[in-house]
Amino acid sequence: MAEVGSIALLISLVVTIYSIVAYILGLKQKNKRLLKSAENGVFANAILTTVASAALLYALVTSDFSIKYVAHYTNFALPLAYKISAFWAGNSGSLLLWYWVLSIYAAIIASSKKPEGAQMRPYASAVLMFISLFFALVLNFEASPFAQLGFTPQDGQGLNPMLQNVGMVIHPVTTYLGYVGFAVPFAFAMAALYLKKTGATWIKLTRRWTLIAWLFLSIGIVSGGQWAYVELGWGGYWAWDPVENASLLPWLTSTAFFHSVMIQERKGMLKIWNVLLIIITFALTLFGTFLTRSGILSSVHAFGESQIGLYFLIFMGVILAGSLNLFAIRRKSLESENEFESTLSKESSFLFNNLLLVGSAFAVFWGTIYPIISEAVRGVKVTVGPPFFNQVNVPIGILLVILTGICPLIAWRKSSWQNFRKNFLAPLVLSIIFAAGIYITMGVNEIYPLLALTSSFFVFLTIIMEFYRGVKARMKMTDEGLMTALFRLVSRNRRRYGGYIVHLAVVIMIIGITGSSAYKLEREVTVNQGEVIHFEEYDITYHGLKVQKDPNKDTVYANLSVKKNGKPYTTLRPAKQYFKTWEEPVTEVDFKSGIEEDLYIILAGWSDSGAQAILKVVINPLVSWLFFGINILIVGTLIAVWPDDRQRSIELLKEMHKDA
Amino acid sequence: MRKKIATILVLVSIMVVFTSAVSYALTVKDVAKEIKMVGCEMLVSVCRTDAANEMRNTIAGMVDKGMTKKEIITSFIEKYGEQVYAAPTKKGFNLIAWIMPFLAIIVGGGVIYYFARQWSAAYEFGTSNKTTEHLSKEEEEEYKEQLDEEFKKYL
Repeated sequence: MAEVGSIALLISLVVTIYSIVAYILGLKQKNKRLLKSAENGVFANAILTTVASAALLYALVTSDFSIKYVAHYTNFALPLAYKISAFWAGNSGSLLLWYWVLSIYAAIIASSKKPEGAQMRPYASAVLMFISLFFALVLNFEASPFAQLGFTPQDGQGLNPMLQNVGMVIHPVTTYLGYVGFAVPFAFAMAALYLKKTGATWIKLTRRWTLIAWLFLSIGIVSGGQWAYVELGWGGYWAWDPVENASLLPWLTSTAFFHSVMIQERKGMLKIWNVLLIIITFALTLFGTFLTRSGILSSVHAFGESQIGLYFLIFMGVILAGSLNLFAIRRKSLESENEFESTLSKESSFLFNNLLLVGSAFAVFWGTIYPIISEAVRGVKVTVGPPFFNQVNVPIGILLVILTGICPLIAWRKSSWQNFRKNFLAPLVLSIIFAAGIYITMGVNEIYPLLALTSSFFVFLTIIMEFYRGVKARMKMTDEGLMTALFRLVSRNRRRYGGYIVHLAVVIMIIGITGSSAYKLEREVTVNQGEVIHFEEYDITYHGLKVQKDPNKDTVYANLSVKKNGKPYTTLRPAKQYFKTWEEPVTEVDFKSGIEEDLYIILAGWSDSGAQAILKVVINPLVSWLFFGINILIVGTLIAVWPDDRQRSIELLKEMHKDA
Repeated sequence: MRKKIATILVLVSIMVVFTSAVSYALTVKDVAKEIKMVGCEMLVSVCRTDAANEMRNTIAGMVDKGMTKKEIITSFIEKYGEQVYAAPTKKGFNLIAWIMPFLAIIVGGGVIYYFARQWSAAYEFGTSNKTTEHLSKEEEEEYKEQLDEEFKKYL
């Protein structure tokens, strides 16, 4: 199988180079046959990368330990699901996954038949193939997943136990799908720049790609947090680790991007800004990979130092230099008729939304690279961790939430103070009452949690009001029933109401983040067998240690029964697992999740053969809101991107009208 | 304008009232969540190693002695170097770390303000020669009815 994979990758490199050359010549000579041939190269490349990926999968599943990668990341006892997920457990496998997805995306773009994209498509495809070339080179000459050991060991080393979690199946794949997805709007932006067609066409063509990439990245980030929460056993989900930050950076800039492109679509403004944002977003996806692979910053995510980090840095430099050079050459084509009818308008609120999102991205970027700056300038190593990021980003985040409430309700073009008051007075007054309520009854008396919860409530109210007004107007106009009106309101204004649902998801997640970060309670206790731990409203009885054996590992777990407010609530089994292929024991937490809070218990250690155990008990308020919120975010985004034939025909009519 | 100022004052005073008069006793966690465990890449408050346990005990001892958070952190920095503190110190060159993000936002805000004003001026200039038509009440109602009809078709 190694030969099949290696040969497929080698041919893929040749085909990629051929496609790029054919595109360049075909476009230069306006040679349709050559362009068609280049396009076929894109399809062939997708097939070749699929063959290479299938070869690696086959080798992993059949435990072909003659392949270094397979021997390094799997063993016979590893369950099938993790043998499959070992595909992206290491450097070369994850790069192959990236390359595979990219080649499929390129093939989808090349096969598109949308007439409005016909002119840009070959240019965008050429850019995508150029990006592919980088991966083909790295996979062939630096990090081949098919490198052979020269002998076949009896068993493999096995997968890091931390990676043996369902999070391993979801988090890396979705994150990569997000990262790779941003290559498409980037490629179209370059095509639009080259062709001097920097109007809204490239944005319309890539809107869905951007949103889907953003959705995958959102799922990737949250599932990564959930994985850390379940697997790492420290009771948290976000540590402001450089690699976590690296995934947040393109998320923030892409969020800014798909907000600001709305202004370009409507008013033809901000062309320069939008092109810059997508260049930055794509470069940041490479920056993330550079950070993970270079070992330049200390991180819990380290993939091991290798040359790949350097290659990514060089490639990022090439991408930035090339795209910014093109940007500078085409600067004139980006000039737009910028007119603002009022400073109090949706346009201006979008500008502030962009300022805060990009400002927040800059803060995260700056904090992440500051240790390097400090070492270079002062020769002193410093740490930039949660205290810095929380102090800097929380106020920006709260302002962003408030803006999330204000922005959708301000009219396009020109809003008036009367209109502003009409829309906001009620939510504002209710929010102040809410703040007073949670301050008095729930003891929320720290400024940031109070502001975060109140502003979330404010956004929630404004969204509800928007739905209420829309449904009411429909019911009045069409005599529809409540549910029909609600359904049609959403289904006929998918972008708008999909967006509101995403905003709703974001505030739900912010409530989760606020509760779990500001009001987390924890206690470490040493407990004897039969003894009860009283912690808040919980009574936790320790019944002793038990051992469970399976082919892959031995699990030692503490048997706990839990009562809540005196009533039986649940049983929990926090454990330590001893994997046959891993020296260090792995902590396996157990928790009971609820709407109000999670009861989360870690088995820290034991003595006297389990007669005594050391347990860390954590109460994480509202954390399930964060993990639940992502489901609503998925629903909202899908509504916003779902194809709408009605909308398409309206746009077609508009185009016809323009032509007439 | 007065109303706006009054509203802002009310909001600020609510915030001040809510956040003042709240004081807390220093806990080990308060300190441990700002100190990085060397070699663990995590904070002392969450690192599960024995060394982190010892570190937490040391902090507990310092808290019991009545040391403030600042004093404890300073003593750690003196002993282990700046890297032990999970954020850059707020002095000297490190001030750049703290100032830059906010400076960037303030400068960005200034740039937005500058362009927004320019664009508003461009709009006003473009519309200054246009005349606006004034409609009678009847005409307005007629148009509204027509608009409603169109809406019904669209909905």
